[in-house]
Amino acid sequence: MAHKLQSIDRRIIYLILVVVLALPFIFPIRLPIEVSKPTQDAYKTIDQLKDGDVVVMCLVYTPNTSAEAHPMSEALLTHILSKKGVKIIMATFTETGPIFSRQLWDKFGKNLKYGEDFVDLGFAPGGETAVSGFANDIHKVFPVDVRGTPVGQLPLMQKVKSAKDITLLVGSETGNPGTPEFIRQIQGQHKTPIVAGWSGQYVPVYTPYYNAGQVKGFLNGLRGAAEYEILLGKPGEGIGGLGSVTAAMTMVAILIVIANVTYQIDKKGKAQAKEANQA
Amino acid sequence: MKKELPLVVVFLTSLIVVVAYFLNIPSVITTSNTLVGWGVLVSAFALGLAAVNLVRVHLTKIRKQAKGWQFSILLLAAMFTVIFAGLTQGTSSQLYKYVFVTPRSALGASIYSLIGFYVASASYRAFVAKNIDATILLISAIIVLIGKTPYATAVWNGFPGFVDWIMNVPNMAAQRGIIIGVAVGAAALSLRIMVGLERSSLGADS
Repeated sequence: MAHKLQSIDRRIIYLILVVVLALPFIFPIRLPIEVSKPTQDAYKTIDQLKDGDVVVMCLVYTPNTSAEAHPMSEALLTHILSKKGVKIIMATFTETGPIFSRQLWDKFGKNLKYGEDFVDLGFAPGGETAVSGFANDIHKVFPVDVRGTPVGQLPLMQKVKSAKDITLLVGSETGNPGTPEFIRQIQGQHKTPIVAGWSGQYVPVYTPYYNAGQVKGFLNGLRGAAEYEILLGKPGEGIGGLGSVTAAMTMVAILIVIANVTYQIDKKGKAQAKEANQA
Repeated sequence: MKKELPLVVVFLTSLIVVVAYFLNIPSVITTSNTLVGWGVLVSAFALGLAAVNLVRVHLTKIRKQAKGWQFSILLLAAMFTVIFAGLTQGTSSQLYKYVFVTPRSALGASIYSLIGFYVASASYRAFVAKNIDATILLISAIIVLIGKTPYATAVWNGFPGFVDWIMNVPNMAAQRGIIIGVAVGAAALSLRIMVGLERSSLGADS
């Protein structure tokens, strides 16, 4: 039995996973979500924004990872937009970023005045070099915005020339250039505070930046988005998808336990059989 | 001269950028900003060059009917459709949004989500406590996995605290070591490139 379980067809595991992932969408489950400290810190930092403050939001993700990152962006932007008079600049260093910033503006930017309340700078290639250029001279790296308008003609951009003029940098990231590059080129040089949304796989890697105080707060993937939605009191995609993620994580943990129990039973059985043969 | 000139350019440009980072000399900072701006332009040019190269490679593949040449046709068709939509209708148009977002998002998310199935299968097959190191890794992984779920406190009140300890002590120590190690390595490599000791970027025979 243990041996059979060990060599189970992987298609059965795939099938169980499909069912486990789909069930919470069909029958939504209410999960007791506890808001973690990094999420609370991110919320507090954004909550302290005042009239006239300038926030730069960088969307560093692709369609592949948007299911995890976009709910974080939506939650963070919802909070920023709730702060009266705060100006927002979208800038991205990933070629697919402008697609997502446009999705956000289509959803949230209807009552905002382009050029005064918000600006979408689009994409700049060059990775960390572009981040470095952005930190020192935004107009040089983004000479025109996503609509082709020279940035010097936009009222908001006339006041914002470099990272020194930015109150807060908000990153929603599942890749590079992300938090390490922002810390090296923007936070380290200009002391611009950073709040980030990280894909779950980056959390163990980037947490030292939070503990060192270089990142003020962060959202841990879909779970972080769900926590932020709780703080905002506006359930969204984060809470919607969390049931599925939780079910999948539980399934993986159960699979690991079953695999190890069967491995130990099988190992013991083989040892006993060997002893019997020798006797 | 073919080798010396690029080395001199690399040395001078990197020196200006490094000096501008550490010292507040306005003329050097202005020059550095200009050089960084050029770097962004070069990157943009490289994107165009990559597109041209992609077309060249796949056209050759189609002409020679190499293995999987049908996929090359699909790739080029998709690529030119997106370029056509962007150039003629603009990147804000419905057509561009449709050709880029609709198929790309669905396909990208599908491919990415396949990793989840491999992880589930691999965790069942490979994540086995065969020795003491694997056992420690395994126990930590299960604690973090369960501890990060919303119902963790219902299972055991101490789960979140234990997860925080794993993340903030052993994980933090390892990650800090890696970050510092990578930074020192990157600084050493950069210095080697700057002074011309590392010449792989100049070509294989350098």
